[in-house]
Amino acid sequence: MSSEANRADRRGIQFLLTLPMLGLLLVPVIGLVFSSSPGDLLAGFRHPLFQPALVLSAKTTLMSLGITVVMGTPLAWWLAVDSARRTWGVEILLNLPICLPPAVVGIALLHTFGRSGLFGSELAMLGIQIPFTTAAVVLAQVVVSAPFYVQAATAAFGRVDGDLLIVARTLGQSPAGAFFRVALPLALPGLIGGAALSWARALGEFGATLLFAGNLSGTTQTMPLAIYTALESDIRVALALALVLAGVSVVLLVSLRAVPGFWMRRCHPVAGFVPDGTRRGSP
Amino acid sequence: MSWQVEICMDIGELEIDVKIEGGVAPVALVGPNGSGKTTLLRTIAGAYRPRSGRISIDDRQIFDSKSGVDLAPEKRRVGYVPQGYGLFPHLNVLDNVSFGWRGESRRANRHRAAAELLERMGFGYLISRTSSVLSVGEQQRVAIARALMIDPQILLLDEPLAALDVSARRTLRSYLAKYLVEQDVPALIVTHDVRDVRALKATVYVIETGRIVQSGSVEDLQAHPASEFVAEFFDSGVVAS
Repeated sequence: MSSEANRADRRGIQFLLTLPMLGLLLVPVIGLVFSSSPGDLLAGFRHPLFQPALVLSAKTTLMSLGITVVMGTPLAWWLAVDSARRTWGVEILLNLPICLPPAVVGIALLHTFGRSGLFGSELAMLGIQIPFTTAAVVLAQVVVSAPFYVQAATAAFGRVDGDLLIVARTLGQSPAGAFFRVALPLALPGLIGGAALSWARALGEFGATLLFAGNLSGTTQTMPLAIYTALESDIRVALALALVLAGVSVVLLVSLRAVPGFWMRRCHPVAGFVPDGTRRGSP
Repeated sequence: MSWQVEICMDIGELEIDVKIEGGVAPVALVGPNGSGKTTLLRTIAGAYRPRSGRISIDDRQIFDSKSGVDLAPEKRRVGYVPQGYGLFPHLNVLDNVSFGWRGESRRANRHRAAAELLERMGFGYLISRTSSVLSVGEQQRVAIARALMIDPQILLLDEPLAALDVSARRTLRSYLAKYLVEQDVPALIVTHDVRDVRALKATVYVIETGRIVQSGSVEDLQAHPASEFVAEFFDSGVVAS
């Protein structure tokens, strides 16, 4: 009996130790939810800042997600199947935008694509201006969010058993056929998870966008920038935008948890499927 | 029907330099872990490119470093069944078996061909297992059926009985021995169990650290083991000098 009581005590202490961190993470979100009345929220939704920012955020993040998936998937596949000796440098470089402060990424983009930047004169000759346009918003989002997708996709492809790809090849598939018919369906839950993470990061992007694209309503003012602007004029808009962003994040989080399990149950009819260990050098 | 493999290659720290040949009768490849057995099978399947050598099946060159022949895996007509059987977990039984079907591309036709093959093999009861739980033994049967679907010139089986319990192993060992004879398809089988070798009546090649150290019949190897591994494998006790 005493050992059971001790165990219960230990569990109680462990739970108490988790409370400060849980509180720190959850209380601000709860505060956000209960900080405004339905009337205030309605006023926020109707404010002229709200709709353009929402539309621009949806448009730019979907574009950046598309670019990230199309360009990031081949990179992730290469990172997963090629030898670590050849890929380690690239893997480290890929993590750089995650580690760099977004403001640094913004300055770097400005000094690459800006008028006096690395490609400034070439772009000017072609009549292309990127900074302070919607394209700059998309570019900033891609740079800060793509590493999240590539990392997740690399891990997902790495878990595909290399022997399955060899079998697919011996059964008549070309390398592309083995990729599309075997590797891609098996890695899909991981790719979806990575895409959701990447999208969430793009949706919340602020610093790089502010420095590289500016804060122009309807052109470069995404939801985080609109929150920043609204804080100086009408807090109700800031709260409405913040709640929408928080709602999208919760939906993404729930999807991230639910999709892989659902996918496994729905689409893996052969018993005993466990994503296998990584094997590099598969064809 | 005959086949030959004579290759040199480096995989990581392991240098493989082997010569193996066989006919219709099964050939067993035995050796300690890390000796290059699986690598050899994958190389014959076309996953790795040897530094030099040649691989031929029934006078058809699938690899020859001198003449620059290196057929892609999909052109080798090699039926590869890896460890754990390598079934595609996102596909059902019929989709797995018909994966290599090269006839009419309509799904119904592919499924019909797969079902016919499973019936011929005596596994008709697996056809309806579209999303059911397959036992390890059933997975093995499906994997072999899938490999046979491409009408292979050789079957490469990597520890086909390793994941089974003792009773299932006994049953499937007899089945495999009978079936390989009936099919008339050469087979190179990696195994860690001397009972598999005996049941298959296979010619044995022993590979250690990438080299073939001994080959012959079970009786020969048991009588004159060339290494401690061979002596231990056949439980013959004394290493021939």
